[in-house]
Amino acid sequence: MKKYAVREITSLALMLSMILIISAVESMFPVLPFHMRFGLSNVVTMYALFFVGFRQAFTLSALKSLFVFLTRGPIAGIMSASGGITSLLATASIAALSSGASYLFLSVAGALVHNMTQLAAASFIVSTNLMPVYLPILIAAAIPAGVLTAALLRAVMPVFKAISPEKTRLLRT
Amino acid sequence: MTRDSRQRKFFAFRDAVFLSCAAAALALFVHSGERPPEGEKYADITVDGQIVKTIPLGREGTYSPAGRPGVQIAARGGMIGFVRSDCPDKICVHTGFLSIPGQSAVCLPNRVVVRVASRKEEELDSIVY
Repeated sequence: MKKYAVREITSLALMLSMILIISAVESMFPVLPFHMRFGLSNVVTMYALFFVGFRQAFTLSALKSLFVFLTRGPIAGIMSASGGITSLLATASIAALSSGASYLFLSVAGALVHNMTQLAAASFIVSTNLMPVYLPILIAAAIPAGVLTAALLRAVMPVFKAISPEKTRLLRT
Repeated sequence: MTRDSRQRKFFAFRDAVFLSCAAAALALFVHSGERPPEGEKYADITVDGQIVKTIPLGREGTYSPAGRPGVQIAARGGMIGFVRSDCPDKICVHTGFLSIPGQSAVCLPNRVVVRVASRKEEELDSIVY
Protein backbone atom coordinates (compact mmCIF):
# COMPACT_ATOMS: atom_id res chain seq x y z
CA MET A 1 0.00 0.00 0.00
CA LYS A 2 2.59 2.49 1.09
CA LYS A 3 4.82 1.73 -1.88
CA TYR A 4 1.97 2.52 -4.24
CA ALA A 5 1.17 5.76 -2.44
CA VAL A 6 4.73 6.99 -2.90
CA ARG A 7 4.62 5.97 -6.54
CA GLU A 8 1.34 7.75 -7.04
CA ILE A 9 2.63 10.95 -5.46
CA THR A 10 5.79 10.79 -7.57
CA SER A 11 3.95 10.17 -10.80
CA LEU A 12 1.48 12.98 -10.04
CA ALA A 13 4.34 15.33 -9.20
CA LEU A 14 6.05 14.45 -12.47
CA MET A 15 2.90 15.07 -14.46
CA LEU A 16 2.16 18.32 -12.61
CA SER A 17 5.64 19.62 -13.35
CA MET A 18 5.15 18.72 -17.02
CA ILE A 19 1.91 20.69 -17.05
CA LEU A 20 3.48 23.73 -15.39
CA ILE A 21 6.54 23.71 -17.65
CA ILE A 22 4.49 23.32 -20.84
CA SER A 23 2.18 26.15 -19.74
CA ALA A 24 5.08 28.41 -18.83
CA VAL A 25 6.86 27.82 -22.12
CA GLU A 26 3.64 28.28 -24.06
CA SER A 27 2.85 31.60 -22.41
CA MET A 28 6.33 32.88 -23.30
CA PHE A 29 5.46 32.75 -26.99
CA PRO A 30 2.11 34.42 -27.52
CA VAL A 31 1.09 33.65 -31.08
CA LEU A 32 -2.67 34.00 -30.85
CA PRO A 33 -4.83 37.12 -30.41
CA PHE A 34 -6.88 37.84 -27.23
CA HIS A 35 -4.26 36.05 -25.12
CA MET A 36 -5.63 32.76 -26.29
CA ARG A 37 -3.43 29.72 -25.94
CA PHE A 38 -3.60 26.24 -27.36
CA GLY A 39 -3.51 24.66 -23.92
CA LEU A 40 -0.81 22.20 -24.84
CA SER A 41 -0.45 21.07 -21.23
CA ASN A 42 -3.87 19.44 -21.54
CA VAL A 43 -2.09 16.59 -23.29
CA VAL A 44 -0.82 15.55 -19.88
CA THR A 45 -4.22 16.00 -18.21
CA MET A 46 -5.86 13.97 -20.98
CA TYR A 47 -3.27 11.25 -20.58
CA ALA A 48 -3.92 11.20 -16.84
CA LEU A 49 -7.68 11.06 -17.36
CA PHE A 50 -7.68 8.18 -19.83
CA PHE A 51 -4.71 6.12 -18.78
CA VAL A 52 -4.28 6.78 -15.07
CA GLY A 53 -7.65 7.71 -13.61
CA PHE A 54 -10.22 10.42 -13.10
CA ARG A 55 -9.13 11.13 -9.54
CA GLN A 56 -5.53 11.73 -10.60
CA ALA A 57 -6.56 13.92 -13.55
CA PHE A 58 -8.80 15.95 -11.25
CA THR A 59 -5.97 16.35 -8.75
CA LEU A 60 -3.64 17.57 -11.49
CA SER A 61 -6.20 20.06 -12.77
CA ALA A 62 -6.92 21.38 -9.28
CA LEU A 63 -3.22 21.70 -8.44
CA LYS A 64 -2.55 23.51 -11.69
CA SER A 65 -5.30 26.01 -10.88
CA LEU A 66 -3.90 26.41 -7.37
CA PHE A 67 -0.50 27.19 -8.89
CA VAL A 68 -2.07 29.77 -11.21
CA PHE A 69 -3.95 31.24 -8.23
CA LEU A 70 -0.74 31.59 -6.22
CA THR A 71 1.41 32.98 -9.05
CA ARG A 72 -1.02 35.05 -11.12
CA GLY A 73 -3.71 36.05 -8.68
CA PRO A 74 -7.27 35.13 -7.75
CA ILE A 75 -8.94 36.09 -11.05
CA ALA A 76 -6.53 34.02 -13.14
CA GLY A 77 -7.01 31.19 -10.62
CA ILE A 78 -10.81 31.31 -10.95
CA MET A 79 -10.54 31.33 -14.75
CA SER A 80 -8.14 28.38 -14.68
CA ALA A 81 -10.24 26.37 -12.23
CA SER A 82 -13.57 27.02 -13.95
CA GLY A 83 -12.30 26.03 -17.39
CA GLY A 84 -10.16 23.16 -16.16
CA ILE A 85 -12.70 21.44 -13.94
CA THR A 86 -15.74 21.74 -16.22
CA SER A 87 -13.82 20.54 -19.26
CA LEU A 88 -12.44 17.60 -17.29
CA LEU A 89 -15.93 16.67 -16.05
CA ALA A 90 -17.39 17.02 -19.55
CA THR A 91 -14.64 14.95 -21.17
CA ALA A 92 -14.88 12.24 -18.52
CA SER A 93 -18.69 12.14 -18.80
CA ILE A 94 -18.65 11.79 -22.59
CA ALA A 95 -15.96 9.11 -22.34
CA ALA A 96 -18.01 7.21 -19.75
CA LEU A 97 -21.17 7.44 -21.84
CA SER A 98 -19.63 6.56 -25.18
CA SER A 99 -16.83 4.07 -25.57
CA GLY A 100 -16.85 4.81 -29.29
CA ALA A 101 -16.05 8.51 -29.00
CA SER A 102 -12.55 9.10 -30.31
CA TYR A 103 -9.87 10.99 -28.41
CA LEU A 104 -10.12 13.73 -31.00
CA PHE A 105 -13.84 14.18 -30.33
CA LEU A 106 -13.29 14.14 -26.56
CA SER A 107 -10.48 16.66 -26.87
CA VAL A 108 -12.48 19.08 -29.02
CA ALA A 109 -15.50 18.72 -26.71
CA GLY A 110 -13.28 19.45 -23.71
CA ALA A 111 -11.82 22.53 -25.41
CA LEU A 112 -15.31 23.84 -26.27
CA VAL A 113 -16.56 23.38 -22.71
CA HIS A 114 -13.37 24.95 -21.35
CA ASN A 115 -13.74 28.07 -23.50
CA MET A 116 -17.44 28.52 -22.90
CA THR A 117 -17.08 28.12 -19.14
CA GLN A 118 -14.26 30.64 -19.06
CA LEU A 119 -16.31 33.09 -21.09
CA ALA A 120 -19.27 32.63 -18.74
CA ALA A 121 -16.95 33.11 -15.74
CA ALA A 122 -15.45 36.25 -17.27
CA SER A 123 -18.93 37.62 -18.05
CA PHE A 124 -19.94 36.94 -14.47
CA ILE A 125 -16.83 38.65 -13.06
CA VAL A 126 -17.30 41.86 -15.04
CA SER A 127 -21.14 41.71 -14.78
CA THR A 128 -21.27 42.30 -18.53
CA ASN A 129 -22.39 39.88 -21.21
CA LEU A 130 -19.23 39.17 -23.15
CA MET A 131 -20.85 36.37 -25.17
CA PRO A 132 -21.67 38.33 -28.36
CA VAL A 133 -18.10 39.56 -28.71
CA TYR A 134 -16.12 36.47 -27.83
CA LEU A 135 -18.31 33.42 -28.35
CA PRO A 136 -17.66 32.97 -32.11
CA ILE A 137 -13.91 33.37 -31.78
CA LEU A 138 -13.73 31.09 -28.75
CA ILE A 139 -15.77 28.36 -30.44
CA ALA A 140 -13.62 28.72 -33.54
CA ALA A 141 -10.45 28.52 -31.46
CA ALA A 142 -11.57 25.45 -29.53
CA ILE A 143 -11.65 23.30 -32.65
CA PRO A 144 -7.97 23.60 -33.67
CA ALA A 145 -6.93 23.58 -30.00
CA GLY A 146 -8.79 20.31 -29.41
CA VAL A 147 -7.45 18.76 -32.61
CA LEU A 148 -3.91 19.79 -31.68
CA THR A 149 -4.20 18.29 -28.19
CA ALA A 150 -5.50 14.99 -29.57
CA ALA A 151 -2.79 14.86 -32.24
CA LEU A 152 -0.11 15.59 -29.63
CA LEU A 153 -1.52 12.96 -27.30
CA ARG A 154 -1.20 10.45 -30.10
CA ALA A 155 2.33 11.62 -30.88
CA VAL A 156 3.58 11.45 -27.29
CA MET A 157 1.72 8.29 -26.27
CA PRO A 158 4.78 6.07 -26.93
CA VAL A 159 6.77 8.25 -24.52
CA PHE A 160 4.08 8.11 -21.85
CA LYS A 161 3.74 4.38 -22.35
CA ALA A 162 7.47 3.93 -21.94
CA ILE A 163 7.60 5.79 -18.65
CA SER A 164 4.51 4.59 -16.89
CA PRO A 165 1.56 2.53 -18.09
CA GLU A 166 2.33 -0.71 -16.33
CA LYS A 167 3.41 1.16 -13.25
CA THR A 168 0.36 3.40 -13.19
CA ARG A 169 -1.79 0.29 -13.28
CA LEU A 170 -0.42 -0.48 -9.84
CA LEU A 171 -1.74 2.84 -8.59
CA ARG A 172 -5.25 1.50 -8.48
CA THR A 173 -5.53 0.09 -5.02
CA MET B 1 -14.31 5.63 -13.77
CA THR B 2 -12.63 2.55 -15.04
CA ARG B 3 -9.41 2.57 -16.92
CA ASP B 4 -10.12 3.61 -20.47
CA SER B 5 -10.84 0.85 -22.94
CA ARG B 6 -8.06 -0.02 -25.30
CA GLN B 7 -10.22 0.00 -28.40
CA ARG B 8 -10.96 3.74 -28.29
CA LYS B 9 -9.62 5.31 -31.45
CA PHE B 10 -7.65 8.50 -31.69
CA PHE B 11 -9.43 9.58 -34.84
CA ALA B 12 -12.60 8.19 -36.30
CA PHE B 13 -14.20 8.84 -39.66
CA ARG B 14 -17.16 10.52 -38.03
CA ASP B 15 -14.77 13.04 -36.49
CA ALA B 16 -14.09 14.36 -39.97
CA VAL B 17 -17.85 14.68 -40.49
CA PHE B 18 -18.28 16.33 -37.10
CA LEU B 19 -15.42 18.78 -37.65
CA SER B 20 -16.61 19.69 -41.16
CA CYS B 21 -20.11 20.37 -39.88
CA ALA B 22 -18.78 22.45 -36.99
CA ALA B 23 -16.53 24.46 -39.32
CA ALA B 24 -19.34 24.98 -41.82
CA ALA B 25 -21.80 26.08 -39.12
CA LEU B 26 -19.26 28.47 -37.71
CA ALA B 27 -18.39 29.91 -41.12
CA LEU B 28 -22.09 30.42 -41.81
CA PHE B 29 -22.58 32.03 -38.41
CA VAL B 30 -19.65 34.41 -38.83
CA HIS B 31 -20.62 35.21 -42.43
CA SER B 32 -24.20 36.01 -41.50
CA GLY B 33 -23.09 38.27 -38.66
CA GLU B 34 -24.28 41.80 -39.19
CA ARG B 35 -21.69 44.14 -40.60
CA PRO B 36 -20.97 46.98 -38.21
CA PRO B 37 -22.47 50.06 -39.87
CA GLU B 38 -20.27 53.02 -40.61
CA GLY B 39 -21.37 55.73 -38.26
CA GLU B 40 -20.04 57.89 -35.51
CA LYS B 41 -17.94 55.55 -33.43
CA TYR B 42 -17.80 55.68 -29.67
CA ALA B 43 -16.68 53.51 -26.79
CA ASP B 44 -18.71 52.52 -23.77
CA ILE B 45 -16.72 52.01 -20.61
CA THR B 46 -18.37 49.61 -18.21
CA VAL B 47 -17.45 49.12 -14.56
CA ASP B 48 -19.20 46.31 -12.67
CA GLY B 49 -21.77 46.05 -15.45
CA GLN B 50 -22.69 49.75 -15.38
CA ILE B 51 -21.80 52.06 -18.26
CA VAL B 52 -19.91 54.85 -16.55
CA LYS B 53 -18.63 56.76 -19.55
CA THR B 54 -19.18 57.04 -23.28
CA ILE B 55 -16.28 58.45 -25.24
CA PRO B 56 -16.53 59.40 -28.94
CA LEU B 57 -13.55 57.88 -30.71
CA GLY B 58 -12.59 61.11 -32.44
CA ARG B 59 -11.62 62.57 -29.09
CA GLU B 60 -8.10 62.63 -27.65
CA GLY B 61 -7.43 62.15 -23.95
CA THR B 62 -7.20 59.77 -21.05
CA TYR B 63 -9.78 58.59 -18.56
CA SER B 64 -9.71 56.68 -15.29
CA PRO B 65 -13.02 55.25 -14.09
CA ALA B 66 -14.13 56.37 -10.63
CA GLY B 67 -12.87 53.95 -8.00
CA ARG B 68 -10.31 52.48 -10.43
CA PRO B 69 -7.31 54.80 -10.10
CA GLY B 70 -4.99 52.04 -11.32
CA VAL B 71 -6.75 51.86 -14.66
CA GLN B 72 -6.09 54.37 -17.39
CA ILE B 73 -7.87 54.31 -20.72
CA ALA B 74 -6.69 56.51 -23.58
CA ALA B 75 -8.40 57.65 -26.76
CA ARG B 76 -6.14 58.77 -29.57
CA GLY B 77 -6.10 58.74 -33.36
CA GLY B 78 -9.66 57.43 -33.61
CA MET B 79 -8.86 54.48 -31.36
CA ILE B 80 -9.26 53.60 -27.69
CA GLY B 81 -7.59 51.17 -25.35
CA PHE B 82 -6.19 50.47 -21.91
CA VAL B 83 -2.80 52.10 -21.46
CA ARG B 84 -2.21 51.31 -17.82
CA SER B 85 -3.64 48.88 -15.30
CA ASP B 86 -2.65 47.64 -11.88
CA CYS B 87 -3.91 44.11 -12.56
CA PRO B 88 -1.41 41.22 -12.54
CA ASP B 89 -1.89 39.95 -16.09
CA LYS B 90 -2.19 43.20 -18.07
CA ILE B 91 -4.26 41.37 -20.64
CA CYS B 92 -6.34 44.54 -21.04
CA VAL B 93 -3.25 46.61 -21.93
CA HIS B 94 -1.88 43.92 -24.24
CA THR B 95 -5.20 43.83 -26.10
CA GLY B 96 -4.07 47.12 -27.62
CA PHE B 97 -6.11 49.86 -29.23
CA LEU B 98 -9.57 49.26 -30.66
CA SER B 99 -11.31 51.08 -33.47
CA ILE B 100 -13.83 48.66 -35.04
CA PRO B 101 -17.40 48.55 -33.68
CA GLY B 102 -17.91 45.29 -31.80
CA GLN B 103 -14.33 45.10 -30.56
CA SER B 104 -13.76 45.13 -26.84
CA ALA B 105 -11.03 45.01 -24.25
CA VAL B 106 -11.59 43.56 -20.81
CA CYS B 107 -9.81 43.88 -17.47
CA LEU B 108 -11.16 41.06 -15.34
CA PRO B 109 -9.48 41.91 -12.01
CA ASN B 110 -10.75 45.52 -12.18
CA ARG B 111 -14.06 44.49 -13.79
CA VAL B 112 -13.70 47.13 -16.49
CA VAL B 113 -14.86 46.62 -20.08
CA VAL B 114 -14.24 48.95 -23.03
CA ARG B 115 -16.49 48.24 -25.98
CA VAL B 116 -16.53 50.04 -29.30
CA ALA B 117 -19.86 50.65 -30.98
CA SER B 118 -21.22 53.00 -33.59
CA ARG B 119 -24.08 55.44 -33.44
CA LYS B 120 -25.98 54.00 -36.41
CA GLU B 121 -26.06 50.62 -34.69
CA GLU B 122 -28.06 52.23 -31.91
CA GLU B 123 -30.44 53.95 -34.30
CA LEU B 124 -31.13 50.67 -36.06
CA ASP B 125 -32.10 49.12 -32.76
CA SER B 126 -34.99 51.55 -32.42
CA ILE B 127 -36.56 51.00 -35.83
CA VAL B 128 -39.95 49.31 -35.54
CA TYR B 129 -41.59 47.81 -38.60
